[in-house]
Amino acid sequence: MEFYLLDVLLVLIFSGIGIILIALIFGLSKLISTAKPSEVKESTYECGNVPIGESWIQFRVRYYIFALLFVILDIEMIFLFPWAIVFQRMGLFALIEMAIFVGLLVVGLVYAWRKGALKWV
Amino acid sequence: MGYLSFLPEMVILAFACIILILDLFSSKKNYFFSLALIALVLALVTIFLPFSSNSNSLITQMFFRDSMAKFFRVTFIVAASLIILISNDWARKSNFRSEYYSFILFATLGIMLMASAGELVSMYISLELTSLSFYALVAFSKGDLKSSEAGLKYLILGVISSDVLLFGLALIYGLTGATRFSEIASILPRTFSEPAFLLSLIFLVAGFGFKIALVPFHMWVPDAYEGAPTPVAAFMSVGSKAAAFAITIRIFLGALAVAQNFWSILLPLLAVLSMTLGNLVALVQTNIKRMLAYSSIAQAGYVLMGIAALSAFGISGTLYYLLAYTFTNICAFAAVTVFASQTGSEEIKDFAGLSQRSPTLALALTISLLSLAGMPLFAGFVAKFYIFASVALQKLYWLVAVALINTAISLYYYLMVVKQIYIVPPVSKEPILISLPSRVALQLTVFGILLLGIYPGPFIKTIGAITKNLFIT
Repeated sequence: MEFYLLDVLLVLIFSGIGIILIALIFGLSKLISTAKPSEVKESTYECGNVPIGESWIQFRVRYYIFALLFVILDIEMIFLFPWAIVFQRMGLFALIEMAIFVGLLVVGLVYAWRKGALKWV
Repeated sequence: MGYLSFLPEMVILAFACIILILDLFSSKKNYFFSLALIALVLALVTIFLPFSSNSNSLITQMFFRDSMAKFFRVTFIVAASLIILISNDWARKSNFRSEYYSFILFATLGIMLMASAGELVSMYISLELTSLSFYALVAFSKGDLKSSEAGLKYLILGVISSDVLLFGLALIYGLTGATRFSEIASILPRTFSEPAFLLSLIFLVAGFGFKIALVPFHMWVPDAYEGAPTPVAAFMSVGSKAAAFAITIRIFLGALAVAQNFWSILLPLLAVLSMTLGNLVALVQTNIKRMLAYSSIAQAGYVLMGIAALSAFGISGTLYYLLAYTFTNICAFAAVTVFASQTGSEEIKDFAGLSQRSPTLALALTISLLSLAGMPLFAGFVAKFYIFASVALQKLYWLVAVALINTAISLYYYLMVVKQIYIVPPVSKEPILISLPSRVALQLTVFGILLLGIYPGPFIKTIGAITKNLFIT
């Protein structure tokens, strides 16, 4: 019980320090710096380009489909690395296991491919 | 080789993938229905093959292979087969037939794994598999705004409830350092006084309450059922609900049994709230799917009473009720599916004179509604009797009284539909034709209702044997 409260207290202390630190830094820079706003300085930053319109616009839904497929294959890598380490010890069993896992992912990928999800139109 | 005892699940998974892939390479689309049925029949056969599950491999530690798991797996496969039978009329019009059937198979796989989960992580993963399949299935009528709305509501509320549940599970893991139910049960007594434990109990009740559709967490049910394709609504009301009940039994009576004093007060309370609100709101519904949705909330209240009894007898009642409810509710939804696919209407007033338009359909719907109300001769009566008796044995007489009053209330709105079917003259005389798969499904469910209602002996015996070994207190 006491340990429990002590943990909460620690979190509170750290959050307090964090808030004070940030307030201090921003407050200092506000105090010391000089502000000369111009039109270019106030505009939205867009990686070197001249910004066009607002940032609240509709994105193509296709970005999400690509992102989703990417994440699935990314997760596959997370499983492949530890698998590669224990592979020698587990032998054939591990090979079959991973074949099933990758096979299931391939089913998904083939499905997306044939349905045209990978085409950019 | 503990793996062989998972053959039914593997069969279903393989067929779900095969159906998806075959669709990509063939132009014919009419055999997915039979493929899905074959998958389920094969799975049903393999469940009864005598594979030993005693090996100590990782996977047999993650999932129970006991008789309760077997009971639920068989029930779910039968339910899924019936759902596929009644889906045919609807799915034929859809452009995404293979996806529909493979999602139904994935959902079946999810609920089967859920009912046999033996530790927190595998439980959560199988719960997510079920939920994700149902999110997609609810929104399956592409272009139908109601279906999309239902899907979105279900998705957002479902994700939030999963998070709440996950938070509860994380707290339990944090307190005990174990994920297996049996280990949690043995470590838990050391951490009773922690406020975090009480918090985790509240999270768990809320999370499961959402999946079961108990009252303070029921808001999504009417909209989701109304917007979803009717067979999907039937599967949700039967499958995911029963699976969530199975998990609730395992966690609360298995892992958290030692903490009974902390949570046992909540269950009768939630049961009373669910049945009262469900029945009262069902009284004023004009859409039959919404009425059945509220009725399913009320039914969940009755089932929860069985768990609230905290006895092996009560759990037997719960299992029997879930079995009876599976047949009864699928029968009701099957009748609604046939009716809606022919007339395009789900309003209760349009059922007027159904007995003249299709005597078979009228009879099946009447039998299922009477069984839902708990009339003698039908499965619902034995199930209700079983549960009420178990609660009375625990001396919770007030709960039985509330449940009896509720049963009387529910009789009114079920009989109002029956009145429409038999007494009110029909608007149009056009007969309603029932396709062969739907006819088979209706016959099987009506047979099930009558069998469970008239000759419950063998089922009660089997279920009694299951719960005798299960109960730990």
